[in-house]
Amino acid sequence: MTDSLLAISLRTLLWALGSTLLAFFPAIALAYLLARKDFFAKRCLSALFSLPAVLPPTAVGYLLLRLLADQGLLGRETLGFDVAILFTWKAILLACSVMAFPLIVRTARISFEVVDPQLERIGRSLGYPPWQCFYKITLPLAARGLFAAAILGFTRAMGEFGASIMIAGNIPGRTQTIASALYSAQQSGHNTQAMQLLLLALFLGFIAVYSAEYLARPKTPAADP
Amino acid sequence: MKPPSLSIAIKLALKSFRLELNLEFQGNVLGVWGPSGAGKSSLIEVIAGLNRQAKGRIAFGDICWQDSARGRFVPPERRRIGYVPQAQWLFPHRSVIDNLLFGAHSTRGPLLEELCTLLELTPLLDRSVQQLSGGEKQRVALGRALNNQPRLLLLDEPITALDISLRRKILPYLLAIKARFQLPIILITHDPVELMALCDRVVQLEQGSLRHYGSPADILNAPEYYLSKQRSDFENILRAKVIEHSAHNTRLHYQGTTLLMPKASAAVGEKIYLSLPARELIIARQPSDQLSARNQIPARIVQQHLDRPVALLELATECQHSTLFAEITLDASQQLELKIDDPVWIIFKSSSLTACS
Repeated sequence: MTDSLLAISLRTLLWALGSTLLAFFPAIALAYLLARKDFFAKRCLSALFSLPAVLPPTAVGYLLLRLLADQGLLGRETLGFDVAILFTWKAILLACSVMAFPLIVRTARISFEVVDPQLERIGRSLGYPPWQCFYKITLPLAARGLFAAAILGFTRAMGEFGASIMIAGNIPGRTQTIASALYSAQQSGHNTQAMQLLLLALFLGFIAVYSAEYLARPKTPAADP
Repeated sequence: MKPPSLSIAIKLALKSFRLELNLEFQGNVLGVWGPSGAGKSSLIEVIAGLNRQAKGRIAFGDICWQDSARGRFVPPERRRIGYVPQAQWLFPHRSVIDNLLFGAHSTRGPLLEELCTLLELTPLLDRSVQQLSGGEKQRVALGRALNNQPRLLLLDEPITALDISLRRKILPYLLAIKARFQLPIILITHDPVELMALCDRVVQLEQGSLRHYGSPADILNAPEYYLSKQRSDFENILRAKVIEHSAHNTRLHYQGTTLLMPKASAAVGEKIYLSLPARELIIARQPSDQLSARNQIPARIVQQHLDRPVALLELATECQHSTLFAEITLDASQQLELKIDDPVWIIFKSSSLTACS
């Protein structure tokens, strides 16, 4: 163990934040699409993007590994250049984003669905094109739910282990997170350190879930922004 | 200046039938009338451009809004319409004033001030939307639509009978808007009073098809309308002018005769709409000064409908031949030996009259 607890937790938080940001915007777009539009193969698309939430994380990790391997769809030989992701911090970001994605989509979709589409129609009648109706009406009304979605995605990313370890490994000082450090500490019998990591995980997890619950509590939106 | 004409020729497949309408309208207020599920709201949505499924052509003034044959479709935000739907009127995340200012062409100018006065919105401006009653919300939605300076106003009215009292509260405001703005209005309504008081022409829809296009009186005096009403549900709508107020009563001028009603709030000289339920009318062969009922109008029987538990008489008033309906029992009808063309007297209490606007 060459890493301090502080370094591990900072790195974990930073990566969780990064992967949440990475997943958030495409997830919001997909959630809006699923909440508002009817189109061919909608269920299929919804199921496909929910898969990371139901598959064993190691399976998702292995899939990513195969995709990014030299002969994979996104590998060096197929693309003609090396994306150089595997076993770096970028691989952590990728694994965490993929795992957080379905959770963000699900929560965001619900928060879009509770906004009455009639309000957007009224917005259209008042002279605003669809994107402005989204920005002026739906987004502010769904904001709490979207924030909760981001926090849930963040917690998922922070606790990610299975997929990350497949494509990023568990390299102290380079790709180690709280989750993988805890695993290493327990495996090598460093019980004190494992306990410290556990407490750290408990503390951060509690804060995140508490704020998500607080934000997602049922309440009519404030009258005046 | 004549208001722009609206020309509609559309087809739209709905769940169990097809909405199909060809119509030219040039006037102030066009009523849309018909049973629930007749396709009225869909029609409004098609005109607004909020339902793209319809095929056909819609033009307003010299602008073509939709022409499916030529692939033309003007999106709702470019049609300059005001749309007030049946419910869910306001943006819950904005205050009343912010709702009123929400609109691509809305400003905080003299128009807004005038609307606030006209619709009595001034005391509501700083409230949150949650603090408003149903009627207040609807008025704010109306103000918001008008503050955006629409060229056509589309109003979809709530459907249930429970809402009738709410509906009648909005009527004076709609009358004020009709009088103030030279703005074509399309109004879905279920209230005969609204139909009479506001609409110049009425489209009657049934299962998506045009059943009748005519004046409000045509529609309300058509036998199928009053026969479709539940017993004791039919109201006559009278338009009368206030002559004078006494301590407890108001005297009105109606079609050459004088009527008495409980004291009304309207000013002397004002024309108001009155509701007179068909079941409240008494039919007599002779006028009588031995009765407590204050109102007696000479009339003639135009039609008798005896195929119901009660007899429904269609009567033409002596003076200007406006139509009134009366419900009496079949026994009474037989005993009086009422026949078509018989002269009779219509008698009712002053308290049978209620002001609607």
